[in-house]
Amino acid sequence: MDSTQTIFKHIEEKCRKKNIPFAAVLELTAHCNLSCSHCFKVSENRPELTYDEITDVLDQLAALGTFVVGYSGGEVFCRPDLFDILTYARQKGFLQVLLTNGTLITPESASFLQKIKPRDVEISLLGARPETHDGITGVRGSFEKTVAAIKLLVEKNIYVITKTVLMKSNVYECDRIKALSRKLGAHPRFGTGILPRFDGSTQPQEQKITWEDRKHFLEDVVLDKSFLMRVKDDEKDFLVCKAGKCFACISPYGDVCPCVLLPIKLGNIREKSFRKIWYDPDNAVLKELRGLKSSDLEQCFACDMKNICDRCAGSAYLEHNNLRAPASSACEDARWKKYLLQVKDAQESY
Amino acid sequence: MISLEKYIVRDSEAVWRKLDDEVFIIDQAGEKVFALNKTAAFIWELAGDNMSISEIVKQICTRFEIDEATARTDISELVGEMLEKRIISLNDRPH
Repeated sequence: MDSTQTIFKHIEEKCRKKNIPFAAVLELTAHCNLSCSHCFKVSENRPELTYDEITDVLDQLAALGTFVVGYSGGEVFCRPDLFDILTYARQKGFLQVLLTNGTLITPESASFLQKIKPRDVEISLLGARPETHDGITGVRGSFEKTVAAIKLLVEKNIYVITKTVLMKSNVYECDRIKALSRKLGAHPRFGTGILPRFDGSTQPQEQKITWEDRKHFLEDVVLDKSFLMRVKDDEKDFLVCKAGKCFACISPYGDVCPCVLLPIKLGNIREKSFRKIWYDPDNAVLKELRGLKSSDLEQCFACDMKNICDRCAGSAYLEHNNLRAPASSACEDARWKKYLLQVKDAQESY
Repeated sequence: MISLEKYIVRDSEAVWRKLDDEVFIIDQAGEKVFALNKTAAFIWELAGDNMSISEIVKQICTRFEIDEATARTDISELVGEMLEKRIISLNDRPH
């Protein structure tokens, strides 16, 4: 481990111990110009946070010690004051990360981002062909716009990560998505987790890939060292995540949640300050999350794949209404990782 | 030897936060991270107040109860390290 990783770990440890939100995601708007089939978000008929309310939250986060602010939505570029928010946050000294579908990025916005210097821009790339990508987003022409945005940002030397949720409708071209991303100068990242929608609907999960899909399409693509190396060491809390400890999320309506994927409302910043919500000693959810140990997760702790599992408390909660339950997508990924490790061992012993 | 009449200017691109007595600095790309110990953290904070290095030496003497010669040596060393890491630069005038 190099010194940077050691210090990062040290910072994270400090933040975890003191429940300092090292990273926070601000969901700037629920509005989106696409309608992706796997989206788990549900918009509500409530007023979204104003610019003043958002800058107030940024002030509070900076004072608490937050280093990284991510912006998500909806689609962040639907927000007309996005540039003002990013400029303000830059002045407050945050590392900034933008999550976007890219379709609203223009040459002007790319030039602006070049000046703001976000740590990275993460763009959803859901296919290697217009038919696949547009089929998932529900909007014809979105593929072309997303690809154009990636090109624009890469030209401006902005670090672009393409994010692909692998599902039935795109898994077969996963290798081509990876190649396209690299050809555009971006950095591909894949995931297989599809959550139930926040209104309880399991419709998005019908898109989940099967074991056979993994064997057919993923074996060569994802079989890389970085994936296999993520085997946990013997730290005692390896099954519990950072949600509610050093990770926070604020919804477009001001609700503070432990994570983007864990929509339990801890309080609303229109009623109480972020600090009061985050450090409320009587909040039962925060107490539960902060007190959880791996050994409290009985089913997961007894599992033989626990050391290779990236368990997600949000998935567990959305699937079972239980923060201590297993999360199906993590179980599937762990099973897949176990299979790949066995393949690798067999190859090495051969 | 670093001139005591210079002013320290923090890298405006760097992201930094103080947690307890330590200051952590992350470069804008989020790739390099530096941890400053108590004395270096104190220098970093004073650098934001437009103080010359000689003024910082005086502050360090008072805060950590050390003599001026020791403070000068320590600060020269720490400022040298911070310059090497490119998290500060030196200026002839206050910024």
